[in-house]
Amino acid sequence: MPELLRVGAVARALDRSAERDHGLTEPVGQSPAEREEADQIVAEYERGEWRLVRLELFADVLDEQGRVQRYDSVHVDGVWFRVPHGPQNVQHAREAADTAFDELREHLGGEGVGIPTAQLETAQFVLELDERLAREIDGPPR
Amino acid sequence: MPPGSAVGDARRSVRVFERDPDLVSGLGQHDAEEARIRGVAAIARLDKGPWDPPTREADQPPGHLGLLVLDGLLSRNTTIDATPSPELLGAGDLLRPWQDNSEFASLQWKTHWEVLEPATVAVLDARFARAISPWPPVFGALLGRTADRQHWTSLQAAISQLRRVDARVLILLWHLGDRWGRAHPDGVHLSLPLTHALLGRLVGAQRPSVTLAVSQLAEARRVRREPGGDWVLLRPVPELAELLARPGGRRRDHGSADA
Repeated sequence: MPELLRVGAVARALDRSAERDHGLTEPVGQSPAEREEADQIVAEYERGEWRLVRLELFADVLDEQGRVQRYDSVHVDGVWFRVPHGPQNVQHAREAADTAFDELREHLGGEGVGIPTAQLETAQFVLELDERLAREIDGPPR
Repeated sequence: MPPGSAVGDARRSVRVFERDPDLVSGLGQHDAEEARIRGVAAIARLDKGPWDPPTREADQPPGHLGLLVLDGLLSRNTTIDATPSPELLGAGDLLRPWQDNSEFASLQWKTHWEVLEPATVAVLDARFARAISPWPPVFGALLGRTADRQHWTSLQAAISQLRRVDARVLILLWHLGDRWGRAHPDGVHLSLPLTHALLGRLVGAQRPSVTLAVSQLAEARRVRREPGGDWVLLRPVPELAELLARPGGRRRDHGSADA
């Protein structure tokens, strides 16, 4: 019986053009309080304090032959990491990943690996930064 | 309102029970009318921004009942580390900001108040308490307001325990809608100054996670944003079991960005 070892996400930097297309404050509403908040966020972005990333979720599963298999094909967009990198990014990544565990469960099921969503939600979560992202956000804004 | 005192401006006073008639709903018609006439209190108007209320219990005369919010929106924020945990307060809530046990606690926390929308409070001082003393049910009604606050904070704590941020945000919005919303055919309209940062503090999530959750909820047609800023909680009212299973609807990804 396969054993779930951990779940996690690889955070990958997206091109800067994607940030402009995505719209840093796109879903923010138009109340005066939200416009003020949006202005602050845009100012922080222009100082280099935010970076758009894609989270590629994975589940590491120990198969019956004792091999660790990584299953990954579910991703979450619209994730913004703070610069410099810190615990708040890990929490945000975890919170974003939580919304996609149903899809990850379905993907695992399609691969013949039956892991309930509840088990995915309570498994150890690991966040990995790809090299490019790590270079960009480890350290103060440039 | 002068810091360090709970005295409003006596030149501005209000018949409390005309502004908050629910407080006398337990009285007969004659008693309610008498109470409306005699239940006069000074009021204080609070501007938007940080609020420095009276905080020393020793400064309050015995018998002071508290400050009754008549309109506006405030938050009482409790901070242990760096992130404040807010409690939203509005019309009908009874405040006793000087009743703060933090100075006696083994581990210290901080409390600060903020006026989110200009507010008016009625100062229910000892003179007011004596004036309404013939009607004990009114005191019961005021006690009920403190119980209401307790229920709200318990609910807020329960919401923050939920796994998914989109579920937390949606359930919170519906409960805010129950109190502050206006029913329309398409749903409940909510006009509160809810920044994503404030929502994050209310549900215990990072601000970017709230932004992502709001997008997901909009995509799943659970909420709609009006141009003026109103939140519209779209009907039908979701079943709680359904919300906890998949509040953001069925989706694989969000956003249009590709590397």
